[in-house]
Amino acid sequence: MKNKISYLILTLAIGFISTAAVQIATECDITSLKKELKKELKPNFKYDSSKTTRFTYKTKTQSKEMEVPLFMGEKYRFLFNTKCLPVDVKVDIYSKPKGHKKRKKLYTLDKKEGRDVYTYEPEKSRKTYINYTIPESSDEELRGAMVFVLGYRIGGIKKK
Amino acid sequence: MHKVTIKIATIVVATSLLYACGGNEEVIIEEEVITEEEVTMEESDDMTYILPSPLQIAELFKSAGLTYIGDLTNSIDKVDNYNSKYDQKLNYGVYASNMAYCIMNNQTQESINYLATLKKLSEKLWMTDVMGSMGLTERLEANVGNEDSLTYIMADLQMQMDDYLDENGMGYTGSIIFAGAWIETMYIAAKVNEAEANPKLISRLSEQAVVLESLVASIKQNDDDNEFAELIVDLEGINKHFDGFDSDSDEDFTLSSEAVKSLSDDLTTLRTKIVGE
Repeated sequence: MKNKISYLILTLAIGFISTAAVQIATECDITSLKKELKKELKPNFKYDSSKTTRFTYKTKTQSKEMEVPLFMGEKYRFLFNTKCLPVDVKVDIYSKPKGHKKRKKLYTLDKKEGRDVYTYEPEKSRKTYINYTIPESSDEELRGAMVFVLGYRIGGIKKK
Repeated sequence: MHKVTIKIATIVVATSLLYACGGNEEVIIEEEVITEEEVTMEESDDMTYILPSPLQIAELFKSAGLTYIGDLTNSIDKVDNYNSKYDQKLNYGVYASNMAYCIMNNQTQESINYLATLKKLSEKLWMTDVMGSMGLTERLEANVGNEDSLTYIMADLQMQMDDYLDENGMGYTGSIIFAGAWIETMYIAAKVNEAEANPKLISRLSEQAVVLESLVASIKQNDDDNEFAELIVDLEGINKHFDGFDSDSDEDFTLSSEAVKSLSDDLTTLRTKIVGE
């Protein structure tokens, strides 16, 4: 009897957490999250572009990659908002695309408790690749979204 | 989909208290256990391409000394000639580029005229929400002569557009709009350079190769119905001018004067095809 009650409580708890997580993802106001990021551009950077990557967690780990062309000698700020992620997503930034023999990791987002906004400023480069590794989840209803904003500043780095 | 093998090294520390004859002695036995775990990774085949804003491209050229030549921009009177969605998207980009060019050069009235044209096109493209509540005209008028504020207003417009396309799953539209904007900005820069040769402008024209690669890849990715085949061929034709460019290299890449002339000619042809005679 005691075991049955424990099992029931556990099932209800898992159900509640999953439902709450789905709701978090669904109820996210992406525009507001972008606005939070946009504030982080001031005063030196201007808004350039953005990309919201929406996904459903699966029973397999997923990988998604974005190519960001940059102009040498200019300054850029990458901003990520992780508020809409019910389960953390790994964010790595690379110098080359997947499969390239000279691919080098430039940055890994180090998730901190209670913090949702993260910043990265690349060194001089032409193209940069952002990779999201979405962990597996047994809850296939679970959805999330990663919000990315790119800012630029012309004349940021003096050319040689 | 592919599998990644992750080796997990676990150090198991077993503490045993062994009592040797004649006294108490603590011996720690460390044992390393290697377990292998197979992680099945589902990789998305599609790379997502983040294209720059027309404003950034315009600012890059402006910083290289792009001067204002009024009759280079597309006439707002042509807006009613663009009847297909394809033409409307491309020319939305063209007019956005024209507006950025005017803003960069403090041509506020011209900027407002282009804004009105963009509104008209956005309605034709059912993107009325993009400019609905921003009070852009008022903001532009209130900031006449303040180039910096005007560029921030343009950046807000870009953000609104990105949000709209994002929320409505219309990312591909963004690529086509950007194609129009990119071709127009390149055309203007090439023409200004023809009027007065400027090595900094040539350097800026040359470095655009990095964007063109991503632009072509992005359009190809969204062309399941072969709707953009002609545009892809045209852009690939432009890309041939950048044959010596290597995106893996950190070295400066600069087109020769002959290559710039030939690029300028092809840009003019392509631009005419988009905006009409």
